[in-house]
Amino acid sequence: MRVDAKPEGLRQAMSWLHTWSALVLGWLLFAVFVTGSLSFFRTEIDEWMRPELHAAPAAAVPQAQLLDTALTYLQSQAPDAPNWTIALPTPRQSTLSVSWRKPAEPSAQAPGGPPVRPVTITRHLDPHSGQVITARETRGGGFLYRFHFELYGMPRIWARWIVIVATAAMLVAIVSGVITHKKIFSDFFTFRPKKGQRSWLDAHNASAVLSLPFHFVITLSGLLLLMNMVLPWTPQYVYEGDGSRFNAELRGQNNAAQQQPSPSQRSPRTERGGAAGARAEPVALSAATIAPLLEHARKTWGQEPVRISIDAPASTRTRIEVREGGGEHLSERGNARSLSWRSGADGQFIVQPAGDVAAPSAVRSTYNILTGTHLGRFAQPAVRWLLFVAGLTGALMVASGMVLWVVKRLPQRIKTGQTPRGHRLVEVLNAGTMAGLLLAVAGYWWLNRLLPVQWEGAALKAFAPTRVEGEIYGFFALWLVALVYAAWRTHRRAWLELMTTAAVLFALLPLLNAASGGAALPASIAQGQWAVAFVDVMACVFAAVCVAVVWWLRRTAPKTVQSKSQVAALKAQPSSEVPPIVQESAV
Amino acid sequence: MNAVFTMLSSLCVTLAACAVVSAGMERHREDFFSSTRFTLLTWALKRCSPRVALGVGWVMLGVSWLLCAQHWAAALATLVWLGLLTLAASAQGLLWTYAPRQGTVVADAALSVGAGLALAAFL
Repeated sequence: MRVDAKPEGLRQAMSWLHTWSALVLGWLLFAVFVTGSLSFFRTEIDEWMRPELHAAPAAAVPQAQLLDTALTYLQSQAPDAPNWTIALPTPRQSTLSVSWRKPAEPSAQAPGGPPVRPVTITRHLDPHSGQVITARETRGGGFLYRFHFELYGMPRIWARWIVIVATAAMLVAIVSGVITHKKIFSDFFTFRPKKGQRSWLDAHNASAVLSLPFHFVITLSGLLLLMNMVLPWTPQYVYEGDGSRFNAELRGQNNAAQQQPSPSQRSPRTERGGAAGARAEPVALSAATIAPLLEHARKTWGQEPVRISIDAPASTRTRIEVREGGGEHLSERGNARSLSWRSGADGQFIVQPAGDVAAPSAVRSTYNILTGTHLGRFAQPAVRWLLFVAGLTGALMVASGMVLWVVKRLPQRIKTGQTPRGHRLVEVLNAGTMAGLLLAVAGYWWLNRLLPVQWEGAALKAFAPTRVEGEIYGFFALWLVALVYAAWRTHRRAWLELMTTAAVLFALLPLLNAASGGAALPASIAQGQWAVAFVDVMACVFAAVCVAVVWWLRRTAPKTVQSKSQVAALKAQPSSEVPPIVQESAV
Repeated sequence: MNAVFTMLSSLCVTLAACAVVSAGMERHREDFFSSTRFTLLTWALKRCSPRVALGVGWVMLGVSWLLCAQHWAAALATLVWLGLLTLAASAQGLLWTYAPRQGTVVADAALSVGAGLALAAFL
């Protein structure tokens, strides 16, 4: 956009687009990137935030004992439930948990009201004593995960729209950024430190271009995941309003859909072969009857089965389904493979043939590969860490771009000797939202351990109705405090002090974990509680990032302030009129 | 070979590949040949034109993809490979910035470790 109305080149136009589309939504994008990266460890954070569970690691306990513990509990507590599920420990979750569906009671059904849904009840069990472990109330990683695409405290639809707009802006920024910074490919490995604006540009380019494929795929797939909101017209026009047919074809069930009313059903329930049914004795469920099934599954897949679902236990029509931890095929969206058995005539379980699941179509495969990458369900720990690091690179790219906006306008500010309000606003928002978010995430985990476990009667109940909200309100309160603090302090001081605080909070988290009932890092590694260990390590990674920023801020400060042009500019002004921020904000 | 070793060997090969690609780039060719010590890679690429060095680098990147593809299906292998490429390229960028003379030494070491791990898995 040129004021003098001369024609502008493509790169200039793109530069304008890149700067402003990214500036407006950059803070939100930073938050989306950070909470999204954390969401790759959602299960792990869930477990870390329930330290009561750390005392009962189940990974080292023999499988037979786990099965017996689980079955004994289910048989005594939920003998009439239509379905039981046993979740064996995995590298991502070190506890033994059972859940069952509680059928809706007819009395709970209000006349004329909506049908009462069956409730799923989940219990974590101590593998040795068989006792239920009651964990503190927390939303855990689920809060960060939801915040990643639905924010908090506003209608879900609005929040999703805001995130969609930000994602679309991100896609625009990526494409226009590649055109604007056309030298990124010839400068591929280039970083020129201690050169002020040039260094920021290099850092921005490097973090952007080195993981460009990741950024592009994660942004595009983010839009694809919400595509029904972005482009809701397909089911209306192509499928003439038949939403269920659209969904069925989308899920690749175009052939099987007609027979299967529920597309979310994981495998067909219909009994094949017809031999099942008439039997007098239900097959007794015990470790001895289930272990061979697990062994069979393990041999078939070469993977550890981790989830056992038992339909109609204690009947003659028992059906057992065993699932693996997570598939490794992106084109199947990381869906887990499963095997199922039904009770046979001779008190044994018979393998049930797999249902007709059509191979995903080309379109479907593409969609799966893109969204599967985004969701990361397939990822084993090593790949998960890779995704996490790539996500943080994205956050780094956004942050460096936002700082670059400020740095680029510094010479002009020094020349004119005044700071436009808009520039100061961007500075405050930069420090407050970005450093503040890291502080708030660390604070969220601290509050998880520091808030009283018994919320009823606690003095804090006046502020938050439940403990879950106590943690979440605390998160936002910290973020807000950081923002106010950033407005109060000068730009550089704000960054320095907020990042120092965040670094300290993150670095002490592993110690806090050990001190407040969690498994300490050496113990969690020794016992194979990888979920707990990973979050401690992740806190250390965050602490290291914050320390690096602080170290770098302290080191570069004198150099930039004393650069020749600045000194000259400062001398030219009567010292009382120089806004303190100009001196300080040369990050 | 399990996932961690696959990633490690592929990462090492990718890092070496990044160094070799640099030998074919105008801006970084000087960095590549700045080592005062003897290294295998500088010796091997001394007489090659930038274009050839670039080609060798890309072939090495292909090899690192193949290493990933030994363990994962194509789509996931590509994803992991891209992730490793990000790590390796960042590391290479920092090396050229802060320790240009050690760049090819590290690349040599990475190549030997990567090749060693891959061979160990193969045999």
